[in-house]
Amino acid sequence: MRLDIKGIGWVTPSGIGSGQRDETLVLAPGKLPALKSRLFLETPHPRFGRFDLYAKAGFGAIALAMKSAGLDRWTQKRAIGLVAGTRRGCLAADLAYFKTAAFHGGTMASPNLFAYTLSSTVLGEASIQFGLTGPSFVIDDSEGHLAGVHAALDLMHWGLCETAAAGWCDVDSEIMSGSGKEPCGAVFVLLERNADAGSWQWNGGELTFGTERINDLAQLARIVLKDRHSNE
Amino acid sequence: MNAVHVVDIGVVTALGRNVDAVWDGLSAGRTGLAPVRRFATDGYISNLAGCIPALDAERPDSRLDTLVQMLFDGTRSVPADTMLFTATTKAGIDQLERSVRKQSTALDKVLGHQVTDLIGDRLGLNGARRNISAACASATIALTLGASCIEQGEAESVLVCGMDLVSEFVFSGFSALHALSESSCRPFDVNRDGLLLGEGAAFLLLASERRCRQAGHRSLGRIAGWGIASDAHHITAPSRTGEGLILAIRQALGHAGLAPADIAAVSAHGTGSVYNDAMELTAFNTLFDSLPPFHSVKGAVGHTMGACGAIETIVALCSLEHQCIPPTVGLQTPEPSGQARVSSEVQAISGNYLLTTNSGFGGVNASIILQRSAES
Repeated sequence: MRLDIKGIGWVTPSGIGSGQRDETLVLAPGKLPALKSRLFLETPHPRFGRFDLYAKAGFGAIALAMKSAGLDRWTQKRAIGLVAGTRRGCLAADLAYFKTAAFHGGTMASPNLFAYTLSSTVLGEASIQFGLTGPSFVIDDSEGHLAGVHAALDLMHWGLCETAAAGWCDVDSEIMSGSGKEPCGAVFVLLERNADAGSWQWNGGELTFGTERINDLAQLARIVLKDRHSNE
Repeated sequence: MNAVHVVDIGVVTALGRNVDAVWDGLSAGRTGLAPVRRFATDGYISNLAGCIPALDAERPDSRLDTLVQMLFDGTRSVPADTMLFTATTKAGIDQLERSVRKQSTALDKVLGHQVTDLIGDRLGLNGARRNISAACASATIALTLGASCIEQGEAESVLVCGMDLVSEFVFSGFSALHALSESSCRPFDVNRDGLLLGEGAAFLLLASERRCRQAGHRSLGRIAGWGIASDAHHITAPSRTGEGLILAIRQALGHAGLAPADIAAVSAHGTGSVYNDAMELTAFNTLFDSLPPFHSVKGAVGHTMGACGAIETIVALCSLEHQCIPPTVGLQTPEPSGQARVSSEVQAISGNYLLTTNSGFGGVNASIILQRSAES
């Protein structure tokens, strides 16, 4: 299956970006910058302040990828899929929520925090913001950070959607070992099936750019950025 | 395209620890919803859930370990090359509860991939392993992905397992959202006032036509069509027009090459919440000129979250085999828009195709069409 990668967006400890010439994407451990919806949207998002950090990073990277692909504005809902790979998901939100519920017989349990204790809630928020009606789910990604992209490519290959925003999102959690030592943030790309596309190809298990096999998300992002800039 | 057969199934719910027990309980109109014993419910708006009694005792590990053990007890071996999809919303969330209360620091079943590995390692599977999380449509979506792998020739054998626990974590959250019923779960009843939670696990072993022939598998039914679509409407409430569900069902019908009139019955999501059930009735009435018989199992086993799609697909296979659908437990006064096609009694059905649907937080919808086994 041939495809185009029409947009990219990221939120990492080194900053946010959407593929402009002066931006660099570094996947590394660290603290994410302060995130506000105005960094990603023209008008403030009414619930962004309630999002946990995982949802803020994921939503932000999806928003930047949609804008980078010129798909952020819409009048009719679109059958675009959404797939995120994650390892820890909303574990930090789980912890924050249960600290409100564990004591006082649960009477202090926060419904606002509970709403973000599903790792797929971030995709629901993005689908509402951008009018996306395609398939949507979170897939576990324990290595390489490419599980979300691969799953979205499968959906396109199988005919379940023609276009998808897909990527990876992970933030630290204070209760998980290894926390602070692994990359955190979110990177999403906008994939579009195109029989006439040039270099990108998915053969049902392997993503290639020309003859180069893509083995991890950092490599994918590097090639997407290089390709974008060479076409400008 | 390869046909996708279901060749082995297993299920554990509050109604029983195997397929026969669960089917018999559902058919008899029994409910597994009962007062929760594993945590205090005084501060919550309900004290009822569909707990599996054998999981009530406190244990050092996660209740998920025991649930998985119960699910696969006595299961014949699964081929080592089988691809594995698991589906769960909160995995072993009871471990996180204990960690917050400083009762334990073990967190080896909290993440999705840990659950996938628990099952994959137990069964000695060396195929690809994936965990899917998509709210209450998790298992239904895992089934569509597994079926797609077989249909496209990317796997000969796929195991799909859905599972979730009744935990204070989830119970308190739904209580805080005022989504729980104070009294009983009454899907499609005019007086329904909320859902009740349940726990359970189910597996379906899928195989290609070729693998069925080679291994001598008996087909329990075929997964004939599937669809996934989002509402893009509201984060916790379903679209009132049912647009996402309609889209998912139309995709499934198109995939199966069927018309709505070919559907003999529907296994609805039917949570018993005001808005979900209204949305489903709107979608069904939009799609079907004449509604087929439909039902919900959630008044009997509770809402089993990430597991419900797998459990309900197994019930759907049994329904096709027996040519009847179970009573909708809790139903007293059916919604008029249900056109008297939902009942508190067993309903006979006639046909080869059954539609099963699930919808969840974030506006996700998924549907599957099952075809009756030719061997029935």
